[in-house]
Amino acid sequence: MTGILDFSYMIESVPAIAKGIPISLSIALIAFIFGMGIGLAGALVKIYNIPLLKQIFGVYVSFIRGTPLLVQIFLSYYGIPLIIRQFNYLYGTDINIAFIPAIYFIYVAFALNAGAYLTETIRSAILSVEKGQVEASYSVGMTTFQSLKRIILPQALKVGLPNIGNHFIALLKDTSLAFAASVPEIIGMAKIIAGRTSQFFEVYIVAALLYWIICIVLERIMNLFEMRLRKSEKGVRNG
Amino acid sequence: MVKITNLQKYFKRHHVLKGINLAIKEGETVAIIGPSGSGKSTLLRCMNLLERPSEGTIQIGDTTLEAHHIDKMSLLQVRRSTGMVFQNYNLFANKTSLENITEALITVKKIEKGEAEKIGYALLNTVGLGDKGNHYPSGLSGGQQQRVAIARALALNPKLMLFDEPTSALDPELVQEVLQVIRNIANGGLTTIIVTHELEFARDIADRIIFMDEGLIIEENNAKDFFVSPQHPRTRKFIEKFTQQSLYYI
Repeated sequence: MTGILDFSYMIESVPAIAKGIPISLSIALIAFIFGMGIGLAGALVKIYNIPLLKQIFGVYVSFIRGTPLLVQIFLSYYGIPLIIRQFNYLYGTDINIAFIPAIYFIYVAFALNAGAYLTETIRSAILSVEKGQVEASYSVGMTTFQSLKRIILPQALKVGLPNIGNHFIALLKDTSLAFAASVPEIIGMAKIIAGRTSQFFEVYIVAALLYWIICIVLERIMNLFEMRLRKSEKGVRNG
Repeated sequence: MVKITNLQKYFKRHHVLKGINLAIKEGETVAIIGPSGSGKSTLLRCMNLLERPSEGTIQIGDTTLEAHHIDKMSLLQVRRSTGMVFQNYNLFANKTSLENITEALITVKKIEKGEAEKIGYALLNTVGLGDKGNHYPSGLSGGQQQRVAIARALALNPKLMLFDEPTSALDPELVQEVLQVIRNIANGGLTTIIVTHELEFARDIADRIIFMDEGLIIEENNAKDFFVSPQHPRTRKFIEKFTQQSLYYI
């Protein structure tokens, strides 16, 4: 074999590595959905200054931002089974830890991680909506909830979308850390395949290209979303 | 219609309203004037509880509010029976002008959408913007935005209209179109309170002028006597400045 790369091997290995794509996507998507929920709750707790919860969220966000994701994965992977064991012991339940797939611990770690970062992003997006519009919504008798749902959040979403989209892309790339908990996502699969032939470079190039393609597609989707949300800036609604 | 007794407001240590007593009859048009920082806007904002009063009682229609025990129901009730127009229009940027008006009808009054839109278009016509229903606030001039804001405030059929310096943010050539709409409302018999720097306009439309300074009502009188023979030295000084200014304009 001459040259740096064995192209035919690279092409051959694509299907096997691509098997990791659904797992990578599922981690990113589930973490993102729960992370958005946590982030919205955290943002509202901070903005409305709810005592106790505000402090709890403060410590949580600080901890997540101050520790590496890899460490959070380990804490979740090794810690949650211990907590379940203690729960079994205290309440006489019989949850079999061995039967819980590792990916669930990954979901937890990634959701908590995304939630912390999204708390700050969503908070700043909500605060970007003019206070006057909030007052106007109150002045016509809307409740805090109605005002949030109909006036504030739709506009905050528009402002926050680019950042939220970046979080999602970052999250997707971070799923490559899930191999540390032996979850067969893209990198996990790549490691397994490369282990057989020792052609690590080729396999990792394929993995890199797969991530790249996914991210390009995601960016496209995000742009479409943004364009739809920006309709109110055109001045007039068509039709 | 409105009865305010010993209304006080603190912002932290800052004493903004120092005991306001005021009664306004149904159908009356009252203009509140005074220098910046005199508490006029705060007084207006207390009337629909965008600011929580620190002390005193406010009675709007049948609802009485005690500063220390304002429950959520009466708060919403007061806001739903008063219309507020802001200095900066504060239109909902994500909604068209029609939707700005129908929003409260649909979410608050639970009126069905088609019906709400009928009311919305009727109101847009009253403020002379019947053809702008599809425009977003970003596609309207300041004067048009403020007229939409007035229509939005009228949508819930309020018993009391509050205007908080409605023309202060407008380009001079757009002031008249907004004032005309306000004049129509006041002349139509709706109880109206307007905080304004447009003294000439205040004299034209108001039944009564209230002059505030440093958190107190210094003087109140019917519009004609107020400007012709102000009693208090501070009022006189304020009006003098105004008449001098208009000389410059001529």
